[in-house]
Amino acid sequence: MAILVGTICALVLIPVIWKLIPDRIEPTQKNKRLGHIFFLFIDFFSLWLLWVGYNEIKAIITGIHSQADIIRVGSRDGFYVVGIFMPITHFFIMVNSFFPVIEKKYNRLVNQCFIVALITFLAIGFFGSSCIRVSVENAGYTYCRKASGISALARTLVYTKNMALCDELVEY
Amino acid sequence: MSIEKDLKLKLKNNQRNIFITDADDLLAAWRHRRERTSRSCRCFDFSRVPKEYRLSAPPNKRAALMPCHVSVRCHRSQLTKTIKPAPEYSTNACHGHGRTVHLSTQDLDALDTASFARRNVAPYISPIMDTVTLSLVCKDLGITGRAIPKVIKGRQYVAFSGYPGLRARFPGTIYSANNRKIITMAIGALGIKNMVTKGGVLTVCITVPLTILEAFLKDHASIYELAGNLASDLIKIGVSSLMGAFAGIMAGGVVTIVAVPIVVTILVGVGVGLGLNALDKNYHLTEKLSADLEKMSAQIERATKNKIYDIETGFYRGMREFIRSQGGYSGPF
Repeated sequence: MAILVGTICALVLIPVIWKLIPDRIEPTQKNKRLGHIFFLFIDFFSLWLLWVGYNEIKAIITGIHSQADIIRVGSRDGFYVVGIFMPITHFFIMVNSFFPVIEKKYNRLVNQCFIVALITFLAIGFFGSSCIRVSVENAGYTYCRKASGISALARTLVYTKNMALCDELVEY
Repeated sequence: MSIEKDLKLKLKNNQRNIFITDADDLLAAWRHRRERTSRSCRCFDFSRVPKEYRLSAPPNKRAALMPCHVSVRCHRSQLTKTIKPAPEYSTNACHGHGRTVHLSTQDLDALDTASFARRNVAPYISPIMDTVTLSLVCKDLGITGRAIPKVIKGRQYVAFSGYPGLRARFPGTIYSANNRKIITMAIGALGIKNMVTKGGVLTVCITVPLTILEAFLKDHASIYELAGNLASDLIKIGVSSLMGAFAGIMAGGVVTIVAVPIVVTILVGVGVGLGLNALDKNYHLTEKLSADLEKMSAQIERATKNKIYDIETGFYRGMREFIRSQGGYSGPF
């Protein structure tokens, strides 16, 4: 019942917190310091995310190699690579704020690196997710639609070795 | 070239007839047959081949596999398969099924369409829209284009660096922070908030109907599962949007480069969404929520039933007392 209460509270609190977010922020020293502390937390979160993504993909690969009966694949598993790009962006921000001379000197190079990193992130995110699904299908697994969830945002796709297993999973 | 690749290529080139006269070829054809879900079937033995495709399969494992002709025709996106005996054999050679069978693949049904949209559109719509905004900003101001916030007479303005003549969207040097162009292009805190709101609302507008549609079309979906999933999705969208917007605004307070807050918003939004998914997956939060909803519904139902029973009993008791007080009838109640 605690989850239900928590969900209702979260649904009520989200619009309230949204109203509390400031409409303007100035680049003062205090704000900059606060920003860097906030981004440090984001960096730790990103590294945790990277670890989670690594474990997810490792579990899928292990499942394929050991010919597991059921393999669960997240629909957005490729996007775990965001865990690398958040610290890179923070590094870019730090160079920009603390070493403006370097930033001016290598402006062009930094720009190009940033653009390439962003495009790579998007490409890996979109195609990585598809590649994981295709590799599972190529390993002889069949998509079990009945056992997969109905959430539209984040889904866990269930792959089974054959349709009989899928039916068993649904009955279970 | 392997048979499978050859078959794929021929299908791709829309070749009208492909004749297959070998068991392995037939298996290869089955492996690449198009299912209703448009996914390649991975059938490695005959037992897994669906019944409608077993016309040329051997009746038992010991029986020899007889060669058949399978013709695959692509016509106006409809795939028609014909299985018939090879002309060099007798009509009975094809396991007694000496007749031509047309197997038309079905069109994508509603569930497939909803499933496809749900899988490929709903989760990505917000990052795609934000990336479009980012590309427009970068095109006009450059990747290192700077927007310096200024307060003049208590009003907030945004001043751009660089040559105004080179910019197509922002031909001026200084704009009010409330300017429509500035807000639409996600510059400044208001712009970031506007971008995130738009993305979040659009995601909700796409996600919720698709989830409901799929739940209605699916055989094994329950109303509790639907409610649990919807609540979970809404929280994920809300929290990831909140965190994305907050991170973007914080980034705006640290650097003056226009592109950075937008990039941070996209990355943090996607990252927080993924993190919430991972937590949900590990701790089965959505499933627990659905179970809680079901439990609560059962409790309410039980309580309401008792209440109705009490009301009914009270009514009958009242009626009995009233009639008795009238000194007349003393019947069943």
